[in-house]
Amino acid sequence: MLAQFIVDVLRMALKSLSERKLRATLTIVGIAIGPLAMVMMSSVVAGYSDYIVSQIESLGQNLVVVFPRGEYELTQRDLDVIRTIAGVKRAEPFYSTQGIIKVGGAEKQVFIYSTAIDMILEAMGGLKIAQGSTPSESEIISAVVGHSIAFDDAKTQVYGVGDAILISTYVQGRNGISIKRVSIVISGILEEFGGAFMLSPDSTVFMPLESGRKVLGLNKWSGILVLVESVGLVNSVVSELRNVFGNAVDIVSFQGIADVVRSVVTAVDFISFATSLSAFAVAIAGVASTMITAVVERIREIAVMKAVGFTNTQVLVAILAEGLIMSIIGGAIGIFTGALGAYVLASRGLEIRGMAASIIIAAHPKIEPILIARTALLTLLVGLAGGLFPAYKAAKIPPALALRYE
Amino acid sequence: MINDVMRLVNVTKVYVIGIAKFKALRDVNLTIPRGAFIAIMGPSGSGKTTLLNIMGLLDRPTSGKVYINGLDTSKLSDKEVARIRNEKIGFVFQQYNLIGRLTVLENIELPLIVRGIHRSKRIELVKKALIEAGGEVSWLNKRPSQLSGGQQQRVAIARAIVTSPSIVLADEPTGNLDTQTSGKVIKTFIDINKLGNTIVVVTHNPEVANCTQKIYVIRDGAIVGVREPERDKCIA
Repeated sequence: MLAQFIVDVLRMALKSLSERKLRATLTIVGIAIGPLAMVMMSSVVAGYSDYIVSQIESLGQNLVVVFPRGEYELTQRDLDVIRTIAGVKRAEPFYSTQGIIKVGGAEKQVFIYSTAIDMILEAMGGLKIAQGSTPSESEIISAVVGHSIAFDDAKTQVYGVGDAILISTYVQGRNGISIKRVSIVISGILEEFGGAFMLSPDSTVFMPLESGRKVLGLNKWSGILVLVESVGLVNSVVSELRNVFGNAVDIVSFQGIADVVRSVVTAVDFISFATSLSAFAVAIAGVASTMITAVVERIREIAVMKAVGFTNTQVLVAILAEGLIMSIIGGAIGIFTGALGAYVLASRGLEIRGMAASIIIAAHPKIEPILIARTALLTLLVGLAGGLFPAYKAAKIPPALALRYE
Repeated sequence: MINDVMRLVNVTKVYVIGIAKFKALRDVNLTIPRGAFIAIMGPSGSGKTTLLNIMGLLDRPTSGKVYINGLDTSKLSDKEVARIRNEKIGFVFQQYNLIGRLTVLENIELPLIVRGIHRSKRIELVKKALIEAGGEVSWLNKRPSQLSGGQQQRVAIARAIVTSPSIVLADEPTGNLDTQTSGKVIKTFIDINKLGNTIVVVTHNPEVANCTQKIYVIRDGAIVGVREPERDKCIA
């Protein structure tokens, strides 16, 4: 009985809306903007967020880097202290600099890290050797190179294992920065890693630790890489490092950076959510305006409904159904076009300027059921909130008075 | 079974407009037996429509009581009143009050929708009511605007009787019709009265009132007389 009534009310509401097509269409367009904005912005933000966080995490969630601050110089004693901290699995110093390599016809700016390469491979799970192998500690002119050093932009292999490459490096001397040219032999080539932040393994040359001093001419450790036993111990190790070194060093944990990025993304997501809500608020006003006009136009009709036995609640439901139908249609259109817009927006890519160069990342929008459900619910609330007042007014119309209404 | 379909006891209606009070009905006492066909006749502004609205539970009296089938309606909630309007009362208005965007079928079935009756059963009841009201089944899918005034009033009568109510209240049902069509519509009322429906017609037209079984004369909100109709002056 109730089901039949609901079916009839929905049928009547559809008929009523189809009678005033233009007004209903404009209201539906107004409703659709909210879900469109919400799905588009939230899914794109979530997509990029996931991409960035996963990239940072791929750099080694249990890797902590200690950099000397100011004039402080890290020493063997510091390294020994770090190795005694509870939770530290392994700690190795590294030298780092930047250089330029000719790949095909183009010059490429690269990072050069001189350290225990096996530790890098252990810390960064996604980093794998595609060709060749890691050089031993004594092979100081050998190196493992990133994918985009061995391959040019057209994905053609330019250098192979055993090939020598010439690197122009920057060396900090007493008289400022000078350029030093060194020739190294490729002993291994990494698989393509993809875009990354802070580190770009595809554009990096990894050499044994001693190469830093003897080949590259660097005389001070750039930092110490600390591999923590498990992700859960990272915070306690970072805290202990701070206790030990105080302000003498900067401590960077990729897990910490990922946490910061997550919190920034949460803030951005909230802002985009709040922005979308303003569109929903406008839609509520639109629905209310349309419905009030409809109620005024149909005041006699509502009186007739009451005369034939519709209760106040039934009149309220009948009028509210129109708002809800507009919301459902507007919501469906908004969610669909929002998803479409998210793919278009995401396909444009996001340019991020890093230390090495700017990279453009293209992450798929993250359209999750919870986002769709949240958006659909909010859109339904638009219909309810916008339609409730006019429907209430309609329900309260005194039939005897309304029948005389001209 | 209670023999009186409706009984009004000392019904008074006062409208308050600003600081002024206007007494639209004064101590109206009226009893309508089952199966009766009566007219309430009076000039414009005499309180006919106010009386009909109170009889139809579209409005509540300021004082006095309205009994329907012996039930005191004065203490009923809005929801209960709506249920009585749906089950016991049928309305016919001067301006038909059909909903323009709905078909004839949809207009007549409106009171049945309230009850949640299945559509196939509704169509059956609508056809029966339309035929009893002198209409044609071929009108069912037409819009009211595609029908003449007389035809529209027949559709309105069908809507009033489709629920088999205890009483049909008609407010100036021929007010918008020419004499010939008015005669046909009143003939329809006579016919449905013969089928057992109780009918109250409010009119200022003596030719309409003379078609009923009894005429109550209302003036300045009070029933001032009851008289027998002059059959030979009936419009039908």
